[in-house]
Amino acid sequence: MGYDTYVLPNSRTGSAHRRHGSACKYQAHMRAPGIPVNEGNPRHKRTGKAAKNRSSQTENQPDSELQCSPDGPPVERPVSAACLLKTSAEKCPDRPLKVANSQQGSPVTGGKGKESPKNSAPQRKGLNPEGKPAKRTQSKGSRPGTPGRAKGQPSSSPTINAQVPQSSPLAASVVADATASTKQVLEKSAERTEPRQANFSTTCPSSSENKQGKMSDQKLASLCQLLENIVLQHGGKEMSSGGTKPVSVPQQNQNTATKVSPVAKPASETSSSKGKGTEEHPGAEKSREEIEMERKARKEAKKAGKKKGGDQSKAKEGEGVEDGSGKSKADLKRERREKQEAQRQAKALAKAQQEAEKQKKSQPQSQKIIREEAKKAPQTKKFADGRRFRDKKSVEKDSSRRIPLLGHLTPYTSHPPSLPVNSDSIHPAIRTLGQKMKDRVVDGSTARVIATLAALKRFINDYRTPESCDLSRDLAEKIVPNVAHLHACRPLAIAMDNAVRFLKHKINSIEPNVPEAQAKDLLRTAIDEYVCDNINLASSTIATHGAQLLKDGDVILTFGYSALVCDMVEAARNGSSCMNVSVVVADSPFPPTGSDMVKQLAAMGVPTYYRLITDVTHIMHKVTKVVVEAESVMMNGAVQGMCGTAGLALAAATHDTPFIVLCHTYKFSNNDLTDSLVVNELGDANGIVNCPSREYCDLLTDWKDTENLNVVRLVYDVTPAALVTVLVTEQSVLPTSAVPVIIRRVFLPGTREHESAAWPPQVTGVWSDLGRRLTWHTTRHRPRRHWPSSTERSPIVM
Amino acid sequence: MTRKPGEVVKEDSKPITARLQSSPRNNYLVKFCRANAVLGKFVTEQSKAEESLLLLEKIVADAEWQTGSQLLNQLRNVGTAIQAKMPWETTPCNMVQRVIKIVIDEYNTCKGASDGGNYQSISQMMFVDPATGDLPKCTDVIPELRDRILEAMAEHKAEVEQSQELISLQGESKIHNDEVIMTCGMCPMVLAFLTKAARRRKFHVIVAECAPKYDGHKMAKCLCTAGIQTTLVQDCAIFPMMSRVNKVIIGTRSVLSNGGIKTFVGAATLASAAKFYSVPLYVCTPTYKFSLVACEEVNHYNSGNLVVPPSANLPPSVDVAVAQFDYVPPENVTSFITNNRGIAPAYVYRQLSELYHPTSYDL
Repeated sequence: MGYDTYVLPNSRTGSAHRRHGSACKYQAHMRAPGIPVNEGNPRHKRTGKAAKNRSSQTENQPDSELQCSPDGPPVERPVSAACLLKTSAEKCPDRPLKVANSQQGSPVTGGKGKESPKNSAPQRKGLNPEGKPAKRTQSKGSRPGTPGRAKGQPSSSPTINAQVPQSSPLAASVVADATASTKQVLEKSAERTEPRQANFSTTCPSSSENKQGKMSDQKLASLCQLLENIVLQHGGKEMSSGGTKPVSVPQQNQNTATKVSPVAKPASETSSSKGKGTEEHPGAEKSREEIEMERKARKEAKKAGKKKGGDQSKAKEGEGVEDGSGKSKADLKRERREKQEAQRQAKALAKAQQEAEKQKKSQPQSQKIIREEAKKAPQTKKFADGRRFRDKKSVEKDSSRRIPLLGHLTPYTSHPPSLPVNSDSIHPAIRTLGQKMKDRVVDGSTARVIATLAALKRFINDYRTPESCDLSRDLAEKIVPNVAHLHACRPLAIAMDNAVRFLKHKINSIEPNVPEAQAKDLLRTAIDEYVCDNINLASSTIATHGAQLLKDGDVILTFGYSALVCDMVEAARNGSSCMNVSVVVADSPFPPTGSDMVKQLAAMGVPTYYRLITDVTHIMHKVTKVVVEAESVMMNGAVQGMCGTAGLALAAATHDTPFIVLCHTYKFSNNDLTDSLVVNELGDANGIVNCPSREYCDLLTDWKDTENLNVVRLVYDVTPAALVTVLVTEQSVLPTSAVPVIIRRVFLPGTREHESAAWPPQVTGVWSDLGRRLTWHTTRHRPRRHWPSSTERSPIVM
Repeated sequence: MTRKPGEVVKEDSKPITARLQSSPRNNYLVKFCRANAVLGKFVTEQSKAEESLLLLEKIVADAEWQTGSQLLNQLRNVGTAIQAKMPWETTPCNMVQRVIKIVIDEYNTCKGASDGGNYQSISQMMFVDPATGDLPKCTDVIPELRDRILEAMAEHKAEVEQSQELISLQGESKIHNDEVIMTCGMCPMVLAFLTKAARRRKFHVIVAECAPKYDGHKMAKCLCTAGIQTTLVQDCAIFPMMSRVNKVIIGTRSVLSNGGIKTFVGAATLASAAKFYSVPLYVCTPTYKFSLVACEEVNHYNSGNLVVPPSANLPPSVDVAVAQFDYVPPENVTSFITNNRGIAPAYVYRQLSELYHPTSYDL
């Protein structure tokens, strides 16, 4: 069994911390890979192919979960904020920024632009224990981690290495600013801004980047606004300037054009390679130049107005773009007479204009683009800062999109939750896990619980008690933001909630006078025991209990992927009775976890059927038992399962088929639910929109922008207790009405001896024919409302 | 051959019935229906009904027949051929049976008029034995019969064409303000019904996507374009959402003679969820979908390729399939919204006796 891998005595943790001092809290987790992590027991993973690869890795190297091996599973990597720093991702895919490089090395942390400044904080403070320069650690982070990872090298953990080059603080701030942006938003904005960036790269003069480094985003924004207004003005005049306009206007146009064009090439080069920081910069610089240019243009316009008559013909010549150079030469002569400085400038203008002509011939649309730009300008704010601004806006729109009937549920967002910059309140392991849960790499309540406890264990490992505080009080406080982060990444499952509550209870019960090392040992042991008893041992017990309910020739219907059901089938086949069991797997189109289940069962040699959840009625007459795994069981006997379980229960009830629910008792909840919508989670609806049907797969891709339309993916549903025939837990096989007793036992262990032995009914023998005995339990069209009286209950108690 | 309702039997290639005559007209109809209906050119039952009527009109107008019996035999052959070729299609059969009824009625009317009373038609109605399956003898040659039949068929065709509008007119009387309606898949009748009702009422529609066809996406798109607040959900979310739903309105492919419906896959789950939460389930159906087929109708498998997730390589030993239709039993249907009025499932038999002649129950 895969559960056995979770045996985690830990030795080297304490000393490793102390060496680095208390300020460097999380350095310790970078110690040698002997740490038993095993987050996400592979058996419990309700994941896709990628996750399976991952889990097989995990078994061999328990530590590899937290390290970022590039050859790892193809985790969908969100577009990192750093990628935005490029003018376009397509332009130079092989020349990413350093930030992007370091993040690409880590598939897990890649999406969180915020991490970089944060993680870099301790190193900037000089806390990197080896004092290595940042670049070296980055290169280490991006290399294949597993084989070549040197033991005992603290800085080789890539989660920490994601770091902003310190030479460009602006880039760092930009990365920090972009944290709130979602993946989609980033992509969208990248698309939107790309044409304008290119446009600006032709219009903006390049200037020194060093000045701009300290410029704040706001200032940049204002400057850029100014710039765009100017461009707007010029563009507008250009548009309005017909053939009969006075001289001043064409002159002005020439000035802008000549001023703009010579620097176009260098600007585009630098911006494409240097990214956003440099792009903002020329924008601001240009605005100053533009102001000067404008003034000059006004002066010249005045002069031109004085010499109206003489210049009229020249102006007419100058209207055409081709004749512009000759005309400006004439202007030069005139200016030379008046001022020497003006002459120098005009020379430059003339040169520039020649280039402008060339450019205009090559890019006849450039003026048009500028005009369009000018039209857009009032709506789109500023391009440098505007990206961030728009991101915020769309994020707000996302979150403010409340679904009718489900407005109380947190809307799904694909972007990671925002983290405080330069704060070490959230442990890297938690952050990594949060991202994995968000990406559904770790999925399924059991896997999530194991992974959460493993991450919290690391947190406890690396925890250092401040000198003025108690461990129990301080740790209990510090654990809160970590759990909150996990919750923000994906709402906690009830089982996770229970596990965290258990851990908090353990922490609170630590006496103040217990030394830190001992207290940590206590907590680690408690976590290990919790996982071992409540999950690993319990799973095998449930499988055995469940197998006892089956008989030879049974056809089992199950839903999606469930490790417990797999175990149960395996136990039934390999047990003493060697039953022949076939399994029908009902699956929902998204996420198609049932295909994994089918593969696993087929590999075991079980006759397997794959059906859609909508189609189960047609195979129901063949099915003898329906077996599903629960996410949680409520106090009133209602069973929370993956969305679709309740429909299956109903189908079972209408066909008089026993509905058996497998559940660990640690997942029992003190809550009572009567419907599925009060407590639920909204999943990623884009998976629904991209349905397998070729005809309709791209019909609703823009549903977020469509009025009156919502797409909802519920993650859980709640099966009413009346539809559940029997509940299989590791403690016993129970009716749903016995749940409160179990809850009392689990959550109030002291009251155990006060329970009478007669209730709940303890089932000991093998139920050879569960369906016949319990048919009364699922009356066909009139679901049972109340638990029958004690005399009626007798057939269950054997 | 009795089967459990909803049981799926692998489709076997039936030999064409010997009754299929080699009349070119018949073959033409059969080919036409198979080529178009099976290949999905006629997506809606409405178009199937209209096309069938068009062809039947041609048969009545062009075929060589002298007496009513000759025509009836020809029509019957066509019906048999369609049934043999496309056992899953009910609407063309319904149309044939409806025309048979029209022919008999017109014949009797003509005959009664010439005989000076309606006596004969009543006696035929009373004493004909449906079990024998013999069509009534209409052996007299009545010259104006052809025109009268064509006239009645034109009336019937107009009725078919108007049915969608007539159904949609009832929307306001079925939906009140701020209701939550659930529907599943795409049905033009339901769409028209809801769109019309949305002019006067404000309500919220939850659309299930209806795998494996996923035409709920199209429905959602149409509904939100019509200005109705729409939420698209997965099929597995039907049960959880049902607790908030006031009415379920779905379309159907055909209404069976017992009051059940034969419709898209997923409807059975939807209907039982509605039943569980005591939510009324309305079925929008024009009368031409009322079929004489009983609930033992054999279901058919579709290819499993529709179901398998695109990226999953399932091992070949796994049995993958999906049925073509779902059967919803009459106890799960609250009411049918037809072009005339709402009728209960228990009243379907009466509707059938009005629509079709008893002798044509078994083609």
